[in-house]
Amino acid sequence: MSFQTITKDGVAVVTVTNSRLDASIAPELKQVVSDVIEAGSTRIMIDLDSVQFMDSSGLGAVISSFKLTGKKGDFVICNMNESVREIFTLTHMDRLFEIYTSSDEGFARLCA
Amino acid sequence: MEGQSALVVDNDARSCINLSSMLEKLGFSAVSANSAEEALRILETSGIALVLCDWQMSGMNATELCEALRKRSSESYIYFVLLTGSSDSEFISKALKAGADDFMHKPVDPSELGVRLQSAARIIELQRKLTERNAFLEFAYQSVTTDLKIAAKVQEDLLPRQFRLAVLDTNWVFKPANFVAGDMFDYFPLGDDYFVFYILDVEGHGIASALTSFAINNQLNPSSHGLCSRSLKIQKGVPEAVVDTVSNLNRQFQGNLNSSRYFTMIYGVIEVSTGMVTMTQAGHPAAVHLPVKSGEPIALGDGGMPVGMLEEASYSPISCQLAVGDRLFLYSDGMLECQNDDGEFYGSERLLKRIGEWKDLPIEELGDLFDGEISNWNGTEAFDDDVSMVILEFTGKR
Repeated sequence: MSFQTITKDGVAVVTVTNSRLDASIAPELKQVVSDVIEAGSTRIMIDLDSVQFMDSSGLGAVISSFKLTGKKGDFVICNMNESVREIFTLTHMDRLFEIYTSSDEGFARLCA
Repeated sequence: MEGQSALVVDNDARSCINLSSMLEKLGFSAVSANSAEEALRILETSGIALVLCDWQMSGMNATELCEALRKRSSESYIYFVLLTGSSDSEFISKALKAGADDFMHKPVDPSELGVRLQSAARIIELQRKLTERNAFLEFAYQSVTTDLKIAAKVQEDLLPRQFRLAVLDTNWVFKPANFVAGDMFDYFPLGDDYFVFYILDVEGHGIASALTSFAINNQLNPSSHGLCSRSLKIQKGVPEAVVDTVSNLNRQFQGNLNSSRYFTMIYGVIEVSTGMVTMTQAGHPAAVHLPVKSGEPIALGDGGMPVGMLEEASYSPISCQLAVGDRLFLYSDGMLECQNDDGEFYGSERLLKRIGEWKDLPIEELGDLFDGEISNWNGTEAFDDDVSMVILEFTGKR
């Protein structure tokens, strides 16, 4: 399993447990997020703590997850390492997403 | 078992005859060999898949024969039954280790032989099917590979010429990860006054990405009255035309929720008379300007949204003045994210350093040099992601 999903207080936290978020697991991330939305979650946090490397397909999967959540939902990302953050900066996606440095902060934001 | 052949190997001619007649009663056609050496010669050409071999033979013994058969490169499997007069478990285990499939005690009991050979026939049939399926897969793989090689040639033919153009010297590196690439680039004159250049990288790599890159390339192709020619013909300023082109692509390549195959690109225009560059950076790694005067490479721009990712993406122009002799480097993330054996990325710092170090080398040599550099870093010619680089040197009017 490359992902772990915990739903707490109506917030779905999807933790990527692989060190690489790349083409090999990107479709699975979309599926996991689609499943939690199907199950009724509208507030979603992606936790990237274990991710050392993310490629273009990984970024694509995060964007797709964000789009799936839709305008009515809430979507945040937490625990990016330096190299992942660089990709978000280069693609200006850091301006689109709410990004938190810890899962506690991100979770608190979604519960607020 | 009907119609199958079996080979009986025994020094003793009478044993051979006995066993052969038992086999024939079971529906086999039996062939005999007086020695292991003769057995090897027969098996070389006969296609027999079942061998019953006496354990005690002069010359090459049963274990050695079995080992020799297992070492053969032939794909068809030979089922090997050892006939032993001994119940020495050490001997039997040695024979099984050497690759024997089964063993039977002598004298052979006809009804036991029948049962044993039924299971042998099952295994031989399974092996035959496996071999057949492998041959089919091999054939399918070969034909896919042949197609991909043709597609790779098609893509290579779409790439621009290297070296001297009217006001530019050029060179490039192009290394698809899997025959065809999601990376593409081109440069060409637009009328007498401008040069267009771009590099793009479709998310992922392989066939699906390559097909998307072909489609985008087609949109930008000047001979197909693509976007860039249209927008530059509109007599707005160059920066507006550059931004318009990328914005149009962004609208055109919006996927649906399930298939959002986006791409990153740098798209730019050089004004021939002045060397003024105007470009847009859409999520692509920063272009690098190498001024001939300072010899210090400069990364240009602070990013931008990829194309086809979000409908509302907006783009802004970056400008850069080229003097005669200045170089511009464009490259894909496959270069920066190329990892060596220790997992270390090639990275932009190393790239900028190299660009600076090689400033006095002629541009004709840079393609091969960067190709060698990144291949060395990667350690093999098999790349995880497409690697591409375009080098432009402004020469002014010649």
